Amino acid sequence: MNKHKRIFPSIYICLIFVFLYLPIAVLIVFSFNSVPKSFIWGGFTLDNYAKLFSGNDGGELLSALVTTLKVAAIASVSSTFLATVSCLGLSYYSKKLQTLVLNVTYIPNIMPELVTGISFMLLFVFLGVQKGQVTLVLAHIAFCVPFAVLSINPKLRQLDKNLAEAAQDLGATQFQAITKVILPEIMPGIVSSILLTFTLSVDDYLISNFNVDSTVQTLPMKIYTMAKFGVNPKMNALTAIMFLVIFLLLLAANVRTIAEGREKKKKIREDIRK
Amino acid sequence: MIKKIPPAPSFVLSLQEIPLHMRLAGIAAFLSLAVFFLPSLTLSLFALPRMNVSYFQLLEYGQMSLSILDTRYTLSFAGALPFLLLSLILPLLVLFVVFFYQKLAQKLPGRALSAITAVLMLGNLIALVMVPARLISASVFSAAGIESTDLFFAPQAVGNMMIILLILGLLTASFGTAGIKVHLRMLTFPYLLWLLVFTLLPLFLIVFAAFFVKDSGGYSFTLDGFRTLFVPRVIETRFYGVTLHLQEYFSVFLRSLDYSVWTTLGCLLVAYPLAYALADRAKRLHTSSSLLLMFFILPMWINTMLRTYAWRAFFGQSGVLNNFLLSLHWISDPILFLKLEFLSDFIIKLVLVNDFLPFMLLPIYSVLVKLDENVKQAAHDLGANSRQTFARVVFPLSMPGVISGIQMVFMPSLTFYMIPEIISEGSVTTIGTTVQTLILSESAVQQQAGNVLSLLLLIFVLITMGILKNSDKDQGGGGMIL
Repeated sequence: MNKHKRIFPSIYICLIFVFLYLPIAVLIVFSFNSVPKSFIWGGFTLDNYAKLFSGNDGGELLSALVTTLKVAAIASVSSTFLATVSCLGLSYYSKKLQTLVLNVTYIPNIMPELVTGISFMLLFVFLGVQKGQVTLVLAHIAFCVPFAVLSINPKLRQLDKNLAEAAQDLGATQFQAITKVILPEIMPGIVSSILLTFTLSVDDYLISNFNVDSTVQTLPMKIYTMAKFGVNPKMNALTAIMFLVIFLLLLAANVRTIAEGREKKKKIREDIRK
Repeated sequence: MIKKIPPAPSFVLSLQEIPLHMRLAGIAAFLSLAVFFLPSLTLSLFALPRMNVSYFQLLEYGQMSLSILDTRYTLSFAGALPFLLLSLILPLLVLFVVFFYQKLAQKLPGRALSAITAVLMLGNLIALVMVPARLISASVFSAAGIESTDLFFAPQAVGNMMIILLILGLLTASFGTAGIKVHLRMLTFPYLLWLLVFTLLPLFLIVFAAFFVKDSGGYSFTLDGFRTLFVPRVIETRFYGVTLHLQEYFSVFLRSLDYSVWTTLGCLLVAYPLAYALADRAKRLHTSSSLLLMFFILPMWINTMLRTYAWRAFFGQSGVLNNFLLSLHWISDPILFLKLEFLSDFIIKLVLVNDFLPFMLLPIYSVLVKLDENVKQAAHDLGANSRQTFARVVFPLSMPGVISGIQMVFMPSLTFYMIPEIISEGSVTTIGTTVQTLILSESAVQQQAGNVLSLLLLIFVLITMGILKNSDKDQGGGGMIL
């Protein structure tokens, strides 16, 4: 009975796994395809990878990737910084004011992305800022900030208010109390904020699309326009590489967790034996 | 009995030290001094490579030769010299005041010192801004035949940052002058300004743009956008094999709604059991963050557009699935999955579910994994069977996660037009495409109609979310665990 209970969830997990990874598998397999611009299998080749680093549109793809990564890096770090600083200040406000500020913060979160993109476009027209790199970065920071606040603020709220005061009673200055006591405590929130905003910024198409001119292109935009003229195997190659990199990063980040888990399991087993 | 004395409010600094506002002013002055020696000015000229110089270099050289359109010019810095010197001396003076604050405070009241610092910093700020403005004399422009807007010295990123810092320092110094104590709560002030500019102003602009159109004499009120949108033009649409005659934009909206409702439902139906199974596993194996979960989130980091193209390739006429079926001789001709009405509609929803699944999975998982096993046990002990335990205990307790999952899937999928467009190869029009084409069109009326449509969408979403939120009193219960 117990075994059955465990088999069904496992099968289900596997099925969803296949469902989620099917498109990625297709992309990776066809990155080795020798027939250009199609999804008909023609034989194994590494040409697409070579072309990615030498060819013309391969270079365009790479430069779009670099732009995307740059924008995402700036957007994630600055939105997280802004969110951290303002959440620190916010914790000294009355409950009512806090709720008000947070509610206003979350408005873009529940707006459709498309409408957010349009509203930023209207804003930049209103402010008279020329569309370009600056507006792209600003728009990305702006749509990342609510998510950053969403990840950091709960961590600050969980924090014991007396902690900073205790540190100051023990002789720390106010600055030290923040850097040595509060910041380490909310570090998980800051890290998850950077990760989340980076992910959102890298994958964003709708907001970028309304807030750049033709000179700047992010990777999603580049892929969208490129794929209109047929699928480009270099895109597949790029995806395969990106997937591998992310996969390895994820593994590396989790090696410690796995090791800890194993130790825990060992301990539990030993406990049971005793 | 000795009563414990509560500690003094921690943010007020003791008087023996330099007050916080003076220290902040000192930091700003120091940074401005440091940046004085770093390349912080950019010379930008049309058709010329940019050159970076520091204030110090300007002072050092006194003049600079520059070739504009093959003619060499000597730029004189005489006009800027006083300001250059001021931007070197003033921060030094500020630093002097800050360092010898205690000694000076014996002779002068603290407020006067703050006022002096504020004035010095204001001078510093003006000097820094005046240097680029005074660098190039007008004669160069006329001689070179270029517009004054073509050639300019501007503070570059570092210089701009310095100016912002100086403004902050100036503010704190003025706070000191006015007797306001610098408080940590002020850290939020820039953010309040940010909210005003990047959240409230855009919202207002959307409402404004729906009713007002820019013309020669400014802005004028018009309802043309509404008229364009609610045009009584009826088109034929097919929903699930039924042909309907609906107003043009309403049918588009209905189709998008159909997609997003099914996406939300599909995600919920797929993700809930999955989250349940994963949470169960995590609890059984005693791991707080499971690697397995990370692998369900990983697809999120692969570009959505590419994954969608892969799906198209999978279901395409000469795609993977058809080739597979053909090679097994299960079918004799390739099936046109993407052209058949029912199937293509289903595939669009399938791909949407595939894309949004992690957004539903995460919040539900994070609630379920925190659920105390003893709660289930208690329900069992009180005589509930498994089904009752789930329906009356587990599911209601996981409601916050479900609701934040719905929020994160329903609303974005409503306007996420790329997937339907790519899968149907442009034959399906969704609300997102409509808004986009309207907004990016040339005619002002169409643009206004686009603004009206986005306003209506916004209102629709806000109402839906409002209804959802009312059933979710426990704010942020789902949350993100990314």
